[in-house]
Amino acid sequence: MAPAASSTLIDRLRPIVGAGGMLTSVSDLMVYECDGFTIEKTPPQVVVFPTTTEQIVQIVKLCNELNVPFLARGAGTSLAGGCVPVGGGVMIGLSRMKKILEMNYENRYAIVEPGVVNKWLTEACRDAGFHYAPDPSSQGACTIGGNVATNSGGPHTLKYGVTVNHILGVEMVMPDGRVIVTGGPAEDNPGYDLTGVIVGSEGTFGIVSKVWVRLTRNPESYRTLLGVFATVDDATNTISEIIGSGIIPGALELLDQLILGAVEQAFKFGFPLDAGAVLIMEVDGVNAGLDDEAARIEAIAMRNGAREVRRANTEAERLLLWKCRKQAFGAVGRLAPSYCTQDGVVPRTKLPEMLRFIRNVSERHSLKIANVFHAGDGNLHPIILFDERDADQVKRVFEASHEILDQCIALGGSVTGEHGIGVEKLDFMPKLFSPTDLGMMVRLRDAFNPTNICSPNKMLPTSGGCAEPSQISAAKPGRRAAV
Amino acid sequence: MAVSSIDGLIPLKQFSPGSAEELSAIIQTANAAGQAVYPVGGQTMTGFGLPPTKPGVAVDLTGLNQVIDYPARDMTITVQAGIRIAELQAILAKENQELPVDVPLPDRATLGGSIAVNASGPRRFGYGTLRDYVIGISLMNDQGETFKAGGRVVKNVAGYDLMKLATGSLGTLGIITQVTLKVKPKAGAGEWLVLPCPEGDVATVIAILGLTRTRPVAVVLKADGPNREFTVGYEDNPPSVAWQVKQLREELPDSLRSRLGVLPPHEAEKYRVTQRDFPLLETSPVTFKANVVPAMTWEFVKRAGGLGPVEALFGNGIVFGHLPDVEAVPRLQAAAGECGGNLVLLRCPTAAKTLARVWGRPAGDLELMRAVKKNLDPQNLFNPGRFVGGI
Ligand SMILES: Cc1cc2nc3c(=O)[nH]c(=O)nc-3n(C[C@H](O)[C@H](O)[C@H](O)COP(=O)(O)OP(=O)(O)OC[C@H]3O[C@@H](n4cnc5c(N)ncnc54)[C@H](O)[C@@H]3O)c2cc1C
Repeated sequence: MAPAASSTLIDRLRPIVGAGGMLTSVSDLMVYECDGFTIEKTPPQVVVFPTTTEQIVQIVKLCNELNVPFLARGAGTSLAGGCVPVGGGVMIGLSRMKKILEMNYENRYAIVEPGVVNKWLTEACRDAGFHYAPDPSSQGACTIGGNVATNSGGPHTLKYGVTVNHILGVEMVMPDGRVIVTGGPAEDNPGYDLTGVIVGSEGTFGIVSKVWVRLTRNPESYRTLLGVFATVDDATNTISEIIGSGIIPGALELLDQLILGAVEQAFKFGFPLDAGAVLIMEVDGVNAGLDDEAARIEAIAMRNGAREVRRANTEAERLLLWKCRKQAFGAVGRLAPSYCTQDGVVPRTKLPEMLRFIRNVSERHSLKIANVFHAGDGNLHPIILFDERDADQVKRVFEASHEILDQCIALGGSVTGEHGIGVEKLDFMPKLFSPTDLGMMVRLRDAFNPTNICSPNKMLPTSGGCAEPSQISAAKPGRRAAV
Repeated sequence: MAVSSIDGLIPLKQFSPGSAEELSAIIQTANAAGQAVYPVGGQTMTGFGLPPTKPGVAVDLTGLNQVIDYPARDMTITVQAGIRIAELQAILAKENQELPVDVPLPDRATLGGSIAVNASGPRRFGYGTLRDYVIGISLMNDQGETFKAGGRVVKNVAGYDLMKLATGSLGTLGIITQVTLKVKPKAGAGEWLVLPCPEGDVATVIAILGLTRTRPVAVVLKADGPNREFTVGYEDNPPSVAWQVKQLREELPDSLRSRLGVLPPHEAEKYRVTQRDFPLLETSPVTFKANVVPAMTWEFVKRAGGLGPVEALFGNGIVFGHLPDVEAVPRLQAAAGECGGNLVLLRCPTAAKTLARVWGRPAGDLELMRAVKKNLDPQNLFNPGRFVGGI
């Protein structure tokens, strides 16, 4: 347990955010000891909920004065432990900064506070015919600030890109309390693209307090197909061939048999439970061009052994299908008491090979692994099912995860496509990057966060080498639960 | 190809490394001697930026032009940064793919140089810019060591996004040696439409294009003397493109519809080349690039008009223009500021260069940019003095 918050810290924070703007009791703080990655836990000393940039500035300056680390938290849906307050300190919750400050359709941007929930933004501009394109499955809960920090993706990023392709600028409170604005509504501002490098910096560059996001016009129309396959191989071959044929679908998502069962129980869509896998294949754009593309995709699926290809005939059916996909993680709770969602990437043509590898890992470790993922991008999300009360299973979950991620690297991919490094994947950084690469990244971080007071021990391993678990637990109190 | 002068500076020596090892040795030697290193690509924009502030060596990177890996079905390609854009596009075209960024003078421009200056063109409205396509990068630092970020897969958030940092950095953070790009399948069809337009109708056309049911990939307005001409580009599969051309016709009022012309393929190609290369025309001594809030583009063009030919990329707020001299620059910079943006000079006689003229209004995050430069290139080895704020 972290040491009790020093009374000075709390007494000095209170006038900044008010007594109603902070949490200090042990039971309240327990809620904030981890995020969606539940393996590593450390409570913060105190959680504060500022409502203005100026309050963030005061909090940050106070932390500097008292030499207490701090970090940002949006909705806490991170799956990589980005919100674990390693070493305790002050957690800055952005959930009360949730105003949409401006909607500018003429120039196709919006200005939002960091606590705005991803989906609210799309809902707010729906009637005007626009949306905010990055649509993580967690979009009903996760915040734009969190999306910016993790460079989130989602099903539709296959065609429309990830968060960074849709962020025009940010206001950020720097780790020393200065406020900077990078970018803005005009494109190509002279100078370094600091906005581009702040996106995806996982909260280690400062606290993002305002965001300029691009709004995208809604496609005129969609064709949403559900391909039903006897085997996962047939489905992954279909993916390779669709992409290879020059069609870029709006989305291309795979669900395997295990996850289908859970999703069907939860949402009663009518998925065939005996299918080895299904593919959600969506094309969007100008209506006149879509029948052609849909027909081509259907033909490719049939050629690769699809049992049938269904069409969502109404908007309601389409939305239900997407609900099933986006809430699939939630449905996993029906399959096992605990689960660990992995996030790896391989070149898309390596998907068949990679999924066979995952099946092999599952058999060798006697662990059930469900798959539901952004297939068109080669971005896998194997979900390993287990019971966290069983220490041996937990150990096998770690081993299985590591084998899967190592194989992603071996196939020329990456250990994270969208969830981030956080604390979870620190040990993999030296496998992806050389000491020189990491050294240059440290130098970059030092330009923003020279004393490492802002979200310490995230993203970059403290030493260049590959630490053994025992060393990690000794060096990083926040990581002791990991071993 | 030897470079005679880098914006007034005669290089102490010139090198054309054929490998990363040779480049590394050159950097180490220059660093030890306290000399600067000036990377040179296709020399299409060697004059961009402020004059160099330190004697140094020129390094021609066009010898580093190999394709490292092209797994076409993954729609990514890894190449050395000295490859010329046209050569890259020819390799991609064999697989019916492309990098959908209209870099000016692609026969000469290199990929590394294009990334360093963040080159873009008309189709950025539909496809974005280089920052959207660079998914992996290797650079060489002041010690002659290679460092990289990103990777070879289209989605990847491991580590900081140095790809974004390098794009538009004017070679001031290190020498770009290798790049992995995400590429696109070529569209099945494309049509380019021209619409000569009386000044009084421009606002109407802009309003129609803002609300059109069609989805152009490019909307360009050319203003030269009294003439105003829109070009609208569509790319998609054939039924979609055919419908869009018909639809735009219907959306225009009668008086404009009769002026709308669909360009035959070879004419379209000529138009596209002219528009793509417009920013680097050498017909007048001074060229500017303004970036304004998109809806203010026409307002800015009106204020900038009359001084020389102008090309505006609608939807992105980017305006290129040629000027006879620098006299009007402060006024245009003020106008760009009032239109929510800034104005820089792509070309300007060395003697007429000042910090304000070349880079416009300093950005609010300049101090942070300086900190980034200082941490990544502490000796100020690469392109010293040429970038924003004299970085
Ligand atoms: C069921 C489920 C499905 C998911 N699906 C997807 C998916 O499809 N695609 C995807 O990309 N991710 C997905 N995720 C992961 C997660 O939702 C994303 O990473 C999301 O962007 C996190 O947003 P958040 O508001 O919850 O941020 P948090 O979890 O609160 O924080 C994440 C990180 O961002 C930092 N941070 C938060 N706010 C700020 C700020 N204002 N300034 C600076 N740093 C900040 C934090 O310090 C932390 O490091 C999913 C998660 C769950 C639980």
